[in-house]
Amino acid sequence: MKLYAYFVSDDPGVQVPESVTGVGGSAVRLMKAEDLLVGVSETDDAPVAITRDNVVAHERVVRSVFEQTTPLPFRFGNVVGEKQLRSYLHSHQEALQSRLLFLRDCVEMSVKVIWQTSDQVSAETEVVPVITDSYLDHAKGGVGVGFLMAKRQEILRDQMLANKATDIASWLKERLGGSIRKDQVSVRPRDKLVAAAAHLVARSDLERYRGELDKARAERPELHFLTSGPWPPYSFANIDLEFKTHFGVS
Amino acid sequence: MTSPFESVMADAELEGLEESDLSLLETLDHVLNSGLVIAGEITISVADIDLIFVGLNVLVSSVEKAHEVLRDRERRAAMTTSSESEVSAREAQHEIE
Repeated sequence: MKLYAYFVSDDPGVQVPESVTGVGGSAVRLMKAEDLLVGVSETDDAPVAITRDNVVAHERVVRSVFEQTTPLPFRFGNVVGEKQLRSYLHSHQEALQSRLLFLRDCVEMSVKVIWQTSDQVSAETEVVPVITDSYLDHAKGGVGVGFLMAKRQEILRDQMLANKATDIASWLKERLGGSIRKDQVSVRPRDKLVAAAAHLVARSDLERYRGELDKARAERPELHFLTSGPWPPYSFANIDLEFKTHFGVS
Repeated sequence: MTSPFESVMADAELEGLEESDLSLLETLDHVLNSGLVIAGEITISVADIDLIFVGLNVLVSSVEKAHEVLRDRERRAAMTTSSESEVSAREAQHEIE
Protein backbone atom coordinates (compact mmCIF):
# COMPACT_ATOMS: atom_id res chain seq x y z
CA MET A 1 0.00 0.00 0.00
CA LYS A 2 1.32 3.45 -0.91
CA LEU A 3 0.36 7.02 -0.12
CA TYR A 4 -1.11 9.60 -2.45
CA ALA A 5 0.09 13.08 -1.43
CA TYR A 6 -2.05 16.22 -1.72
CA PHE A 7 -0.34 19.05 0.16
CA VAL A 8 2.21 20.09 2.76
CA SER A 9 1.42 22.60 5.48
CA ASP A 10 3.21 24.01 8.51
CA ASP A 11 0.01 25.22 10.13
CA PRO A 12 -0.62 23.00 13.18
CA GLY A 13 -4.31 23.90 13.15
CA VAL A 14 -4.96 22.70 9.62
CA GLN A 15 -7.73 20.12 9.12
CA VAL A 16 -9.24 18.21 6.23
CA PRO A 17 -13.01 18.06 6.75
CA GLU A 18 -14.29 14.48 7.07
CA SER A 19 -16.76 15.08 4.26
CA VAL A 20 -13.89 15.71 1.82
CA THR A 21 -12.75 12.51 0.14
CA GLY A 22 -9.62 12.03 -1.91
CA VAL A 23 -8.68 10.28 -5.13
CA GLY A 24 -10.77 7.15 -5.67
CA GLY A 25 -13.10 8.15 -2.83
CA SER A 26 -10.40 7.40 -0.24
CA ALA A 27 -10.27 8.95 3.22
CA VAL A 28 -7.71 11.73 3.65
CA ARG A 29 -5.59 11.95 6.79
CA LEU A 30 -2.81 14.18 8.04
CA MET A 31 0.63 12.68 8.44
CA LYS A 32 3.00 14.51 10.75
CA ALA A 33 6.63 14.53 9.80
CA GLU A 34 9.24 16.87 11.24
CA ASP A 35 7.32 20.12 11.81
CA LEU A 36 5.20 19.58 8.75
CA LEU A 37 1.78 18.11 8.07
CA VAL A 38 1.10 16.26 4.85
CA GLY A 39 -2.35 15.42 3.52
CA VAL A 40 -2.34 11.83 2.27
CA SER A 41 -4.66 8.99 1.40
CA GLU A 42 -3.91 5.31 0.90
CA THR A 43 -3.75 3.92 -2.61
CA ASP A 44 -2.50 0.83 -4.39
CA ASP A 45 0.68 0.75 -6.44
CA ALA A 46 -0.97 1.36 -9.81
CA PRO A 47 -0.47 4.71 -11.55
CA VAL A 48 -3.27 7.13 -10.84
CA ALA A 49 -5.57 7.51 -13.81
CA ILE A 50 -6.30 11.01 -15.06
CA THR A 51 -10.04 11.09 -14.82
CA ARG A 52 -12.32 14.01 -14.19
CA ASP A 53 -13.26 12.57 -10.78
CA ASN A 54 -9.64 12.01 -9.69
CA VAL A 55 -8.45 15.45 -10.78
CA VAL A 56 -11.42 17.13 -9.11
CA ALA A 57 -10.86 15.05 -5.95
CA HIS A 58 -7.22 16.16 -5.77
CA GLU A 59 -8.17 19.81 -6.15
CA ARG A 60 -11.06 19.43 -3.67
CA VAL A 61 -8.72 18.19 -0.93
CA VAL A 62 -6.15 20.93 -1.56
CA ARG A 63 -8.86 23.59 -1.75
CA SER A 64 -10.44 22.49 1.53
CA VAL A 65 -7.14 23.32 3.23
CA PHE A 66 -6.50 26.41 1.10
CA GLU A 67 -9.67 27.91 2.59
CA GLN A 68 -7.95 27.79 6.02
CA THR A 69 -4.33 28.51 5.15
CA THR A 70 -1.93 28.49 2.19
CA PRO A 71 -0.46 25.01 1.71
CA LEU A 72 2.15 23.76 -0.73
CA PRO A 73 0.04 21.76 -3.17
CA PHE A 74 1.42 18.60 -4.71
CA ARG A 75 1.07 18.01 -8.40
CA PHE A 76 -1.51 15.39 -9.36
CA GLY A 77 -0.16 11.84 -9.28
CA ASN A 78 2.43 11.76 -6.48
CA VAL A 79 2.27 8.19 -5.19
CA VAL A 80 5.04 7.16 -2.81
CA GLY A 81 5.78 4.79 0.01
CA GLU A 82 5.55 6.22 3.54
CA LYS A 83 9.28 5.72 4.07
CA GLN A 84 10.10 7.61 0.85
CA LEU A 85 7.72 10.42 1.79
CA ARG A 86 9.26 10.79 5.26
CA SER A 87 12.73 10.73 3.77
CA TYR A 88 11.75 13.46 1.29
CA LEU A 89 10.27 15.63 4.04
CA HIS A 90 13.33 15.14 6.19
CA SER A 91 15.82 15.99 3.46
CA HIS A 92 13.80 18.94 2.12
CA GLN A 93 12.47 20.28 5.41
CA GLU A 94 14.33 23.56 5.26
CA ALA A 95 13.40 24.28 1.64
CA LEU A 96 9.77 23.36 2.24
CA GLN A 97 9.48 25.54 5.33
CA SER A 98 11.16 28.41 3.57
CA ARG A 99 8.76 28.08 0.66
CA LEU A 100 5.75 27.89 2.97
CA LEU A 101 6.94 31.04 4.68
CA PHE A 102 7.29 32.80 1.32
CA LEU A 103 3.81 31.72 0.22
CA ARG A 104 2.09 32.46 3.53
CA ASP A 105 -1.21 34.31 3.05
CA CYS A 106 -0.75 34.34 -0.69
CA VAL A 107 -2.86 32.96 -3.52
CA GLU A 108 -2.21 32.26 -7.16
CA MET A 109 -4.11 34.11 -9.85
CA SER A 110 -4.08 32.91 -13.42
CA VAL A 111 -4.26 35.10 -16.51
CA LYS A 112 -4.26 33.70 -20.01
CA VAL A 113 -4.02 36.10 -22.91
CA ILE A 114 -5.45 34.93 -26.19
CA TRP A 115 -4.92 36.90 -29.33
CA GLN A 116 -7.17 36.75 -32.29
CA THR A 117 -6.10 34.96 -35.40
CA SER A 118 -6.14 38.34 -37.13
CA ASP A 119 -3.43 39.58 -34.72
CA GLN A 120 -1.20 36.72 -35.75
CA VAL A 121 -1.95 37.29 -39.40
CA SER A 122 -1.18 40.99 -39.11
CA ALA A 123 2.11 40.19 -37.40
CA GLU A 124 2.94 37.80 -40.18
CA THR A 125 2.04 40.19 -42.97
CA GLU A 126 4.06 42.94 -41.35
CA VAL A 127 7.13 40.95 -42.27
CA VAL A 128 7.87 41.96 -45.80
CA PRO A 129 11.37 40.94 -46.74
CA VAL A 130 13.27 43.42 -48.79
CA ILE A 131 13.43 41.84 -52.20
CA THR A 132 15.76 43.76 -54.39
CA ASP A 133 16.47 43.26 -58.08
CA SER A 134 19.71 41.65 -57.05
CA TYR A 135 17.81 39.08 -54.94
CA LEU A 136 15.50 38.32 -57.84
CA ASP A 137 18.46 37.87 -60.14
CA HIS A 138 19.94 35.39 -57.70
CA ALA A 139 16.58 33.68 -57.19
CA LYS A 140 16.41 32.99 -60.90
CA GLY A 141 19.69 31.19 -60.46
CA GLY A 142 18.30 28.24 -58.53
CA VAL A 143 16.00 26.77 -55.92
CA GLY A 144 18.66 27.11 -53.21
CA VAL A 145 18.37 30.89 -53.07
CA GLY A 146 14.60 30.69 -53.12
CA PHE A 147 14.68 28.24 -50.21
CA LEU A 148 16.98 30.50 -48.19
CA MET A 149 14.78 33.52 -48.86
CA ALA A 150 11.71 31.59 -47.70
CA LYS A 151 13.61 30.47 -44.63
CA ARG A 152 14.66 34.04 -43.90
CA GLN A 153 11.06 35.17 -44.14
CA GLU A 154 9.99 32.40 -41.77
CA ILE A 155 12.65 33.40 -39.23
CA LEU A 156 11.66 37.07 -39.46
CA ARG A 157 8.02 36.14 -38.99
CA ASP A 158 8.82 34.05 -35.91
CA GLN A 159 10.88 36.91 -34.48
CA MET A 160 8.06 39.35 -35.10
CA LEU A 161 5.54 37.08 -33.37
CA ALA A 162 7.91 36.45 -30.47
CA ASN A 163 8.50 40.21 -30.06
CA LYS A 164 4.78 40.92 -30.08
CA ALA A 165 4.11 38.15 -27.55
CA THR A 166 6.92 39.33 -25.28
CA ASP A 167 5.62 42.91 -25.50
CA ILE A 168 2.19 41.73 -24.36
CA ALA A 169 3.69 39.79 -21.43
CA SER A 170 5.84 42.79 -20.40
CA TRP A 171 2.91 45.15 -20.68
CA LEU A 172 0.78 42.92 -18.45
CA LYS A 173 3.54 42.62 -15.87
CA GLU A 174 4.00 46.40 -15.84
CA ARG A 175 0.28 46.99 -15.31
CA LEU A 176 -0.03 44.44 -12.49
CA GLY A 177 3.43 44.72 -11.02
CA GLY A 178 2.33 46.75 -8.02
CA SER A 179 0.09 44.05 -6.65
CA ILE A 180 2.01 40.86 -7.40
CA ARG A 181 4.80 39.31 -5.35
CA LYS A 182 6.07 36.97 -8.00
CA ASP A 183 5.06 35.83 -11.44
CA GLN A 184 5.67 33.03 -13.86
CA VAL A 185 4.98 33.79 -17.46
CA SER A 186 5.21 31.52 -20.46
CA VAL A 187 5.06 33.11 -23.87
CA ARG A 188 3.89 31.06 -26.83
CA PRO A 189 3.98 33.29 -29.88
CA ARG A 190 2.90 30.61 -32.31
CA ASP A 191 -0.17 29.63 -30.30
CA LYS A 192 -3.49 31.37 -29.94
CA LEU A 193 -2.82 31.41 -26.23
CA VAL A 194 -0.03 33.91 -26.52
CA ALA A 195 0.86 34.28 -22.86
CA ALA A 196 -0.03 32.35 -19.73
CA ALA A 197 0.82 34.04 -16.46
CA ALA A 198 0.60 32.84 -12.89
CA HIS A 199 0.67 35.67 -10.37
CA LEU A 200 1.38 35.27 -6.68
CA VAL A 201 -0.79 37.77 -4.83
CA ALA A 202 -1.14 38.43 -1.10
CA ARG A 203 -4.68 37.77 0.05
CA SER A 204 -4.79 41.34 1.34
CA ASP A 205 -3.86 42.68 -2.14
CA LEU A 206 -6.51 40.76 -4.08
CA GLU A 207 -8.91 43.67 -4.49
CA ARG A 208 -6.12 45.91 -5.75
CA TYR A 209 -4.95 43.18 -8.14
CA ARG A 210 -8.46 42.74 -9.53
CA GLY A 211 -8.79 46.49 -10.06
CA GLU A 212 -5.48 46.70 -11.91
CA LEU A 213 -6.38 43.69 -14.03
CA ASP A 214 -9.74 45.26 -14.97
CA LYS A 215 -7.96 48.45 -16.03
CA ALA A 216 -5.46 46.48 -18.11
CA ARG A 217 -8.22 44.55 -19.83
CA ALA A 218 -10.01 47.75 -20.71
CA GLU A 219 -6.79 49.14 -22.16
CA ARG A 220 -6.34 46.34 -24.69
CA PRO A 221 -9.78 45.43 -26.06
CA GLU A 222 -8.19 43.60 -28.99
CA LEU A 223 -6.89 40.91 -26.63
CA HIS A 224 -8.97 38.21 -24.98
CA PHE A 225 -8.33 37.48 -21.31
CA LEU A 226 -9.20 34.41 -19.34
CA THR A 227 -8.68 34.99 -15.66
CA SER A 228 -9.22 32.54 -12.86
CA GLY A 229 -8.47 32.25 -9.20
CA PRO A 230 -7.73 32.40 -6.39
CA TRP A 231 -5.86 29.10 -6.65
CA PRO A 232 -3.60 27.31 -4.21
CA PRO A 233 -0.08 28.30 -5.35
CA TYR A 234 0.52 25.32 -7.66
CA SER A 235 2.87 27.27 -9.94
CA PHE A 236 5.08 28.42 -7.07
CA ALA A 237 5.28 25.19 -5.11
CA ASN A 238 7.90 23.09 -6.83
CA ILE A 239 11.15 23.62 -4.94
CA ASP A 240 13.04 20.99 -6.94
CA LEU A 241 12.25 22.58 -10.26
CA GLU A 242 13.41 25.97 -9.03
CA PHE A 243 16.59 24.44 -7.61
CA LYS A 244 17.40 22.78 -10.92
CA THR A 245 16.60 25.87 -12.96
CA HIS A 246 18.54 28.11 -10.61
CA PHE A 247 21.63 25.96 -10.85
CA GLY A 248 21.23 25.28 -14.53
CA VAL A 249 20.79 21.55 -14.12
CA SER A 250 17.61 21.17 -16.10
CA MET B 1 -17.51 21.49 -8.31
CA THR B 2 -17.14 25.04 -7.07
CA SER B 3 -15.97 27.31 -9.83
CA PRO B 4 -12.82 29.23 -8.98
CA PHE B 5 -13.56 31.68 -11.77
CA GLU B 6 -14.18 35.30 -11.17
CA SER B 7 -14.82 36.10 -14.78
CA VAL B 8 -14.64 34.49 -18.14
CA MET B 9 -14.41 36.27 -21.46
CA ALA B 10 -17.15 34.64 -23.47
CA ASP B 11 -15.85 35.84 -26.80
CA ALA B 12 -15.40 34.22 -30.18
CA GLU B 13 -12.45 32.19 -28.99
CA LEU B 14 -14.27 30.68 -26.09
CA GLU B 15 -17.92 30.64 -27.09
CA GLY B 16 -19.58 27.26 -26.98
CA LEU B 17 -17.85 26.32 -23.75
CA GLU B 18 -19.71 26.53 -20.50
CA GLU B 19 -18.09 28.13 -17.47
CA SER B 20 -17.98 24.71 -15.83
CA ASP B 21 -15.98 23.38 -18.81
CA LEU B 22 -13.52 26.26 -18.56
CA SER B 23 -13.31 25.75 -14.83
CA LEU B 24 -12.43 22.09 -15.36
CA LEU B 25 -9.84 23.00 -18.00
CA GLU B 26 -8.22 25.49 -15.67
CA THR B 27 -8.25 22.89 -12.90
CA LEU B 28 -6.53 20.40 -15.21
CA ASP B 29 -4.03 23.04 -16.22
CA HIS B 30 -3.08 23.75 -12.60
CA VAL B 31 -3.33 20.29 -11.06
CA LEU B 32 -1.56 18.41 -13.88
CA ASN B 33 0.95 21.01 -14.97
CA SER B 34 2.31 22.37 -11.72
CA GLY B 35 2.72 21.64 -8.05
CA LEU B 36 5.21 20.03 -5.76
CA VAL B 37 6.81 16.84 -7.05
CA ILE B 38 8.44 14.30 -4.74
CA ALA B 39 10.20 12.10 -7.23
CA GLY B 40 11.75 13.34 -10.46
CA GLU B 41 8.87 11.99 -12.44
CA ILE B 42 5.27 11.05 -11.92
CA THR B 43 3.58 8.13 -13.58
CA ILE B 44 -0.04 8.70 -14.39
CA SER B 45 -2.25 7.06 -16.91
CA VAL B 46 -4.73 8.19 -19.51
CA ALA B 47 -6.99 5.57 -21.05
CA ASP B 48 -4.81 2.79 -19.59
CA ILE B 49 -1.66 4.18 -21.18
CA ASP B 50 0.99 5.14 -18.65
CA LEU B 51 2.53 8.55 -19.14
CA ILE B 52 5.67 9.78 -17.47
CA PHE B 53 5.52 13.37 -18.61
CA VAL B 54 2.48 15.54 -18.93
CA GLY B 55 2.85 18.71 -20.93
CA LEU B 56 -0.48 20.29 -21.64
CA ASN B 57 -1.63 23.30 -23.47
CA VAL B 58 -5.01 22.39 -22.12
CA LEU B 59 -7.00 25.46 -22.87
CA VAL B 60 -6.16 25.97 -26.53
CA SER B 61 -6.15 22.34 -27.48
CA SER B 62 -9.39 21.77 -25.70
CA VAL B 63 -11.09 24.77 -27.25
CA GLU B 64 -9.99 23.61 -30.67
CA LYS B 65 -11.05 20.06 -29.88
CA ALA B 66 -14.40 21.31 -28.66
CA HIS B 67 -14.93 23.26 -31.88
CA GLU B 68 -13.86 20.25 -33.90
CA VAL B 69 -16.32 18.02 -32.05
CA LEU B 70 -19.11 20.56 -32.47
CA ARG B 71 -18.40 20.91 -36.19
CA ASP B 72 -18.28 17.14 -36.56
CA ARG B 73 -21.57 16.78 -34.71
CA GLU B 74 -23.19 19.43 -36.92
CA ARG B 75 -21.88 17.68 -40.04
CA ARG B 76 -23.23 14.34 -38.87
CA ALA B 77 -26.57 15.91 -37.97
CA ALA B 78 -26.75 17.52 -41.43
CA MET B 79 -25.87 14.23 -43.12
CA THR B 80 -28.43 12.33 -41.04
CA THR B 81 -31.10 14.88 -41.89
CA SER B 82 -30.31 14.71 -45.60
CA SER B 83 -30.22 10.88 -45.55
CA GLU B 84 -33.54 10.81 -43.74
CA SER B 85 -34.97 13.17 -46.36
CA GLU B 86 -33.64 10.95 -49.16
CA VAL B 87 -35.12 7.84 -47.53
CA SER B 88 -38.46 9.59 -47.07
CA ALA B 89 -38.37 10.75 -50.68
CA ARG B 90 -37.54 7.23 -51.91
CA GLU B 91 -40.30 5.70 -49.76
CA ALA B 92 -42.75 8.25 -51.05
CA GLN B 93 -41.69 7.51 -54.64
CA HIS B 94 -42.03 3.76 -53.93
CA GLU B 95 -45.53 4.24 -52.56
CA ILE B 96 -46.50 6.22 -55.65
CA GLU B 97 -45.17 3.47 -57.92
